Amino acid sequence: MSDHTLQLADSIAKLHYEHDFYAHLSMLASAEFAFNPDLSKAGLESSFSGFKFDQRKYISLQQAAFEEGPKIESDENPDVDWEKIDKKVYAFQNRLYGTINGDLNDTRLKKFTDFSVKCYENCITYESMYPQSTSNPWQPVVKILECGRLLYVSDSLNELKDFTNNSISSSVSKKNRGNIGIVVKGQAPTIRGFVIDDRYDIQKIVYSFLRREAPSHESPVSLSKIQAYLKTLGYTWSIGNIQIKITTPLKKTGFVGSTSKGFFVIQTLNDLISSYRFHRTKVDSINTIIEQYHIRSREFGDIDLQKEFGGLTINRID
Amino acid sequence: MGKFQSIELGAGESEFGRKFYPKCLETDSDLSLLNTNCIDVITDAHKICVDDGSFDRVILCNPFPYGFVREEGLVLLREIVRILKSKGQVILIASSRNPTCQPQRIKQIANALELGTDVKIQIQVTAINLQTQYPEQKFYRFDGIETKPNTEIILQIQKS
Repeated sequence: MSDHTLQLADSIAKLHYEHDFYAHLSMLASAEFAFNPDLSKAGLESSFSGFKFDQRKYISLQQAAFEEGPKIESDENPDVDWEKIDKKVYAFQNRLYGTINGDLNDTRLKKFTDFSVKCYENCITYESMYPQSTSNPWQPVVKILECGRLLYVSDSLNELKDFTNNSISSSVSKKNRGNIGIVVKGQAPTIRGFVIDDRYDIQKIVYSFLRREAPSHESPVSLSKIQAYLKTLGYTWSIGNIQIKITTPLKKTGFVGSTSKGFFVIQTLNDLISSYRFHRTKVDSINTIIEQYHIRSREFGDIDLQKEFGGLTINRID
Repeated sequence: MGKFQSIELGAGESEFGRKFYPKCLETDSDLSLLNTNCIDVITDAHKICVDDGSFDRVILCNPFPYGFVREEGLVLLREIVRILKSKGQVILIASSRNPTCQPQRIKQIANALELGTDVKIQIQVTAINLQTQYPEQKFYRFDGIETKPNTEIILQIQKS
């Protein structure tokens, strides 16, 4: 995170933080595929039926991300300078306090500032422990902060309702109650947020299904088969939703692969090569398109497209 | 509390203190553990509901997200020192990658606590082998999934 002064944003519309918060949770949850032995056993769908992404799970996944990092990261720094981390956290905290017009001892505001500082601390701690990481789980939430939004997470619906003047309660379906929710605050006193859906529960169900039905690249299952299977369990999800919320996050764990024929669990080198080849071809094709855009940008003057797009992705290429 | 020599903070359901340190009071702040046999007292580790100088030993197993970090860590250590007898020890079983149990941070917090007081703290860090030192003992995360700590940090605390 850069050292410039923070500035709280005017807008707290959901689109500004929803994707990043889910990305944060997906990174935490996906790591569990690497170290939870229960997930490697086939046919465990029934045992996942009661899965809740509550505060306990959230805290535990954070702990696991630090402790089990070597299983998912390519390197580890054995000489972390904890004093330096603490100094950086104090500096960030001071910068954050400097941006707030309000009573810093106010209990509600304190929850936001404490949680936001903790997110920053976890981010730089992870960065120091695993310097080569490209999947720091706190990077997306620090992005929410960098964009001027303070955040706080809780699994108490009453607390979330209280923060948002009940605006959150109408959007929470019964099956998602007990899951954590995020609330954010910008410049204005208004607070908005949402409770997360049951995508992590379903990701585990689908992963288990793939372990049983698609244990290699030679036996892939299609999206429509996954959709039909979920329907038998009472989940009526569209293909698009399954892709965005289930299969793409699963692929990002590195434990699930895909080709044009469907999805499968990566267990051998051949599985890995097969999925790599498919995705490499897609990346090469996209790079060709990007190159063409750079060439066409000359028509519009001397502009840097990379700078112009500002990091905001609308259609994510997954 | 006179019959107890040790106290475990944030004990959860592992009963580590009870198994390895006789006369250990098991505590946790989680109200849902109230009706289990694992916990004797529900209390916050930062505001422990026992008298000053009550115990010889304080035990913690891989605390997270609370622990020995900056001001919060100082509050925790100060509270631990308060409930220990004049010569006491802290046994911290930890993962070497748990940010809340780092010897460098604990040393810093111990130094801050020693300043202007008559408390002296010595820190000793050793690697542990769970199978030989704590056979059949399981350690758990907050969600009940097993975790495997690999370090023992002992703080010898002397108050005059």
